[in-house]
Amino acid sequence: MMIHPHCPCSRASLEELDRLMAHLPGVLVAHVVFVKPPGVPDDWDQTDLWRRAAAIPGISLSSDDGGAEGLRFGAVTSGQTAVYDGDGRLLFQGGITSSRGHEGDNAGRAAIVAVLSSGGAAPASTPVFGCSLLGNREGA
Amino acid sequence: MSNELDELIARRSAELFRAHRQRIYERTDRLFAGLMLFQWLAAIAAAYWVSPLTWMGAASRTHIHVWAAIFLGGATTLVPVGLAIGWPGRVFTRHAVAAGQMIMSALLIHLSGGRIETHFHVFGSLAFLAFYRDWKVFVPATLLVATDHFLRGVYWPQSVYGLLTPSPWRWLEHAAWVAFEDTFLINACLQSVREMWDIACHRAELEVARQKTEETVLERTAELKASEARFRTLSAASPVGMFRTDADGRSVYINARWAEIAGIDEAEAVGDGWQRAVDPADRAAVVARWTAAVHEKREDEQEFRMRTPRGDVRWVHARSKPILSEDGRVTGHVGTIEDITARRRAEALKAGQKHVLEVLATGASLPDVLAVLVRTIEEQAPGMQCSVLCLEGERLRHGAAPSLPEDYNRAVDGITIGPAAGSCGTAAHRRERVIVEDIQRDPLWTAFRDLAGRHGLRACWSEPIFSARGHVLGTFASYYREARGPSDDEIALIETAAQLGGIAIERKRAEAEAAEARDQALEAARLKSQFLANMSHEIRTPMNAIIGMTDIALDTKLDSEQRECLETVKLSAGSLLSLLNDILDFSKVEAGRLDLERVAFSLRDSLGATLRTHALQAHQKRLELACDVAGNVPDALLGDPGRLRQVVANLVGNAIKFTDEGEVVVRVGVEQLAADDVALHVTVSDTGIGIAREKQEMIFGAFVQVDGSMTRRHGGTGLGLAIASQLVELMGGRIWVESEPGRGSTFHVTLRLDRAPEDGARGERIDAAALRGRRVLVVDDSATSRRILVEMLTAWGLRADGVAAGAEALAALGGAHDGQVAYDLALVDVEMPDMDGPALVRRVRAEPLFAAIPVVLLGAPGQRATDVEATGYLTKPVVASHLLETIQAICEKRPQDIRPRAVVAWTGRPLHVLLAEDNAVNRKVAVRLLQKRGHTVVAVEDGRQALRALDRERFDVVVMDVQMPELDGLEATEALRARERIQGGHVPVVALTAHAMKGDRERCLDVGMDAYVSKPVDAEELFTTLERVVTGEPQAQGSAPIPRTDGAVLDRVALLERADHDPELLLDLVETFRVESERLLADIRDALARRDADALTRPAHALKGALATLAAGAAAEAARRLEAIARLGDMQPADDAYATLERELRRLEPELAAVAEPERSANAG
Repeated sequence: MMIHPHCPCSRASLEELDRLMAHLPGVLVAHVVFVKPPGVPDDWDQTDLWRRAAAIPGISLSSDDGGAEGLRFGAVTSGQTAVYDGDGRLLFQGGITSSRGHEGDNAGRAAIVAVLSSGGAAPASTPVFGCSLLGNREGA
Repeated sequence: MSNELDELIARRSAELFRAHRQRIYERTDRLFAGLMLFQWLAAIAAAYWVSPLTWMGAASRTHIHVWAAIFLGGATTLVPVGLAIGWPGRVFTRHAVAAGQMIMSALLIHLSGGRIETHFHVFGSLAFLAFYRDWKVFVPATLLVATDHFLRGVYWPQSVYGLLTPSPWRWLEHAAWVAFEDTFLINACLQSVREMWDIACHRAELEVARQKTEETVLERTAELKASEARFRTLSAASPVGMFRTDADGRSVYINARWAEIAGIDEAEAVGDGWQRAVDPADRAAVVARWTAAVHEKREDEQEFRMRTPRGDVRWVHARSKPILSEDGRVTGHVGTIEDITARRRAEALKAGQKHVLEVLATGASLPDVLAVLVRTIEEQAPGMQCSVLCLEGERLRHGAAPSLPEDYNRAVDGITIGPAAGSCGTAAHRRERVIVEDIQRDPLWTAFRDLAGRHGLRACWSEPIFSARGHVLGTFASYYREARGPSDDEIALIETAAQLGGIAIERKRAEAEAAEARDQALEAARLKSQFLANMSHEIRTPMNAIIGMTDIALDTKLDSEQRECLETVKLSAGSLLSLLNDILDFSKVEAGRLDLERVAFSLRDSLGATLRTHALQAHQKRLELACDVAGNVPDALLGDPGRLRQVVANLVGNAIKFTDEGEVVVRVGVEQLAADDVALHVTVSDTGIGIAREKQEMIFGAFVQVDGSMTRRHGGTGLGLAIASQLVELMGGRIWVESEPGRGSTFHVTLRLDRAPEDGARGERIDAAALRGRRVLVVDDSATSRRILVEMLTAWGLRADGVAAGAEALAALGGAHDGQVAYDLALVDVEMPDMDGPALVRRVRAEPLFAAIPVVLLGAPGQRATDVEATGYLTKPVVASHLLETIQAICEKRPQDIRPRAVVAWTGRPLHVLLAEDNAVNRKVAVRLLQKRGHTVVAVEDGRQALRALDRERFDVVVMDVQMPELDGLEATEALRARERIQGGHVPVVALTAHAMKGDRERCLDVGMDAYVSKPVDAEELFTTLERVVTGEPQAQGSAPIPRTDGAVLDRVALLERADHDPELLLDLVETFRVESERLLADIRDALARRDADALTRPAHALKGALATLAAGAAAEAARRLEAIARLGDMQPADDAYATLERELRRLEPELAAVAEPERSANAG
């Protein structure tokens, strides 16, 4: 999951991630990348969102200085989530909130659960609600 | 009334409801205005807080939510808020609020991405809208929510439900939930509206009730205010002070008059402040009485003084009454005070005037009266100092000024009046009031200005004092210590003072003049009285000589011519004396100087003595003179016996004078008899010429005779009846005449006289019980005399028969003898036709059958026949007591032993008489008269010689002239009595005096004389008096004199004299005494045992009389003492007195036995 450290809507995405991690313990290995655009101070990503994410069990955090990592995953909007299987196959890509900053049932979470439960199907995609990670691309 | 009230309530309820609802609308509008603004700001804040920025890499800008919150929220909020502020309470406002709120909900739902929680904003907003309590606001709100959900559910479901693919009926579900809530909210609104209506109705009812109550209260208040206003208006105009207090008696209101009287205002009087207006002298009593009246809730009324802060004192009359509420509680007191100062002052002034006049009437001196006047006026006007100056010539002299300084009074004493002589001098000069308000500045004051100033006198008002005739008598001045003029009251006061002063001065001057005139008149009267007395003496003395010597000459051998001449001389002298006495009496009556005596006397004795003096006169005219005193007439009376005798003598004298034949009868009857007094009716009837009816009224006037010819024929001054009439009037009685010309006259006299205690000795003397049943023959040709005698005898219990002639008498005596009933006694008239009294006696004595019968002759004085054996002789008219005593004396002895007794006209016992008389002629007359009676006489010329004669020899009696040289009769008698007190014994003294004035007799008796004979000496009177004093008969006062034996147990000589040296009588006396004394002592002991003073008096008195008769001096004195104790009513010393009496009686017994025994022996022998 790519997170803009200051995106207000991304808190809902982290909450949904927490639910997913709780719902599927041991199934998912989650990695949250806090994208730091170029030119920002070192601790620019040390926000509430960081501390919230750090609190989710089984999560690894990383800081993406300059946004290279994000770009590698083609993420432009904070909260964009990509799920891969053990084989590196993309199972899911998109947002896991139903609206901007809106926790609760949503298509992204349902798709992930379904993918993981069914054991593989066509990759699903859902809209992502969040801020633009690097500015050059508008968030959904 | 009820409908109107209901309509009013309904109307008012609707108003209140609408107003209430409107207030709720407006309040809710304002609430929503605030709420929506808050909501807006909260939305902005929330948006800013949740998502302040939207990021694009490192760049950021304000989040769209923030802008949406600001602008969309503002658009949604500001319109309804503006309406709520600008048009609160309007329908469109609340509908706009409802719509705005719903839009806000929609926006919130949208901005939150359709989060379900935000849908509760809809429910919350609806709930808030319910605050309007207007169910209609839910209509647009609900429709808006339903429409929003429907439209957005169709076109943008994610914004409302947060879902991309919600159910197509999701909107309906949401709308149904809203409708569900609406149901409750609308119900709540309707319920609330109903409650609001109820509240409105209740409030309306309350309001109407309150309004009605207020109206009533206002109405009552208005009435109260009107009443209060009326009360205040009335009380303000009231001439009396008015006040009101609370239930505790504390003042809550006073009117203007109250404040004026007290001199304090209402604020000062409130509560207990009024008490300070009460004069301190009266305050405690007034407050105590007021407190009691308040406590007892009763009316009160009292008079007291109030003192104003200026010091003015006013008398008020206060009345108060409790105010009662409808339930009977005392809510306060209301009352009045009336200024009665003027009345009080007038009363005080009147009392003062009265006091002044009383002092004046008591004879106080003028300065004292004026001083009282000044003090009286000063009391009426505190601060005023007054003075009275009396005008003498042109100078004012000090009268009275007790409060002014002495030296000031001395200085102004004698000031000369003038046009500028101070206040008083000027007032007296001008004859008008002078008011000087400031002495220090007034030009009238010059001489005494400084002196007045030194004494602090500043104002002086002077009122002239006038006499009744308008002469100035002086001035009344009033001084004050401050410069001031008089008030009207003060002017009136000093005018009154001046009037009183005038009365006092004028009265005192008149008194002084009257006293001087009275002294002169008294001196003139004294000289006249002296002249009268001297004239009386000077005329009577030669008259005495003329009459006496004529009597003596008439007793010598004379030829008829000489006798006729001398009788004419005697008659003329008698007439002159009568005229002299009449004029003297009349002048005394006219002068009001004839005082009546009040002494005890015996009526029968007094009448008898009077009639005896006329017996000769009647006899000479051959008239029958009779006296008939009814048996029930009390004998012992109190009065003036001399004047009573004078009246009777005058009437009898007239009757005899104007009667040529027939009889003159004096009758005495009782009109009314009481324990203390008796109304007597005395008549004097004659068979004379009578008086014409038209003359009957005149004859009691002075100097009136029935006609002039009578005067010439019968003589007389015409004063007799006038004097008698005035005497009767003086004695409180009435006199009138009934007469028919030719048939005689009857003069009536009624008198009321007090009764005196009956004399015990007399009671003994006339005790007729022993005579009961004796037979007496009365022989008298006069039917009247016969009837009187028979009635008298019958009344005593004797059996009396009357016959008119000697022949009838002899027949009666004879008949009685044959009938074996002898007459015990015959009473025979001396003068009878055919056979006169002496002839009848001779016939009786010649008749063996009844020769021994006692016969008593009844005749005129001097008719006593010595040649017949009469047992006794009584002078006509017969005195009852004399007759009774004579009968007693005769019946208690055998007829053959009887001899003439002392009880007849004269004892015949020669007396040894000492005559003291300085006038040689009078002395000669008296000596001859006495010697003719068989007495021996020693004559001396004055009192000193008399005393020497008394030293030398013993006399039976002394006849003493009062007026003598050297030592007069009074002094000589005093000396004699003084000597007797030492030596014992008692020689009777009879006064001879020409003094006819009242008081002579008292003086004689006071010095110890025993009797009194007026000169010229009437032989009969002198001998009667001598007999009385020698035999110890009762005095005119009716009480037996106690022999002056001064402690002697028994005066044997006196006792023998009492018994006329008659042994039998002596024995009889002693025996009678023994029997009688036993009875009397028993009565005394009985009365002592009962401690009954009244019962003790009579026996003690009777015993005293008996002992006196026995000449038992010591015992008589003891009995007298016991009687005196009984009369005083204090029985304490009575036992001792009785013991003394018993002791004296034990001492007397052997003495009496010694006296009686020789007599008894002699009789036995």
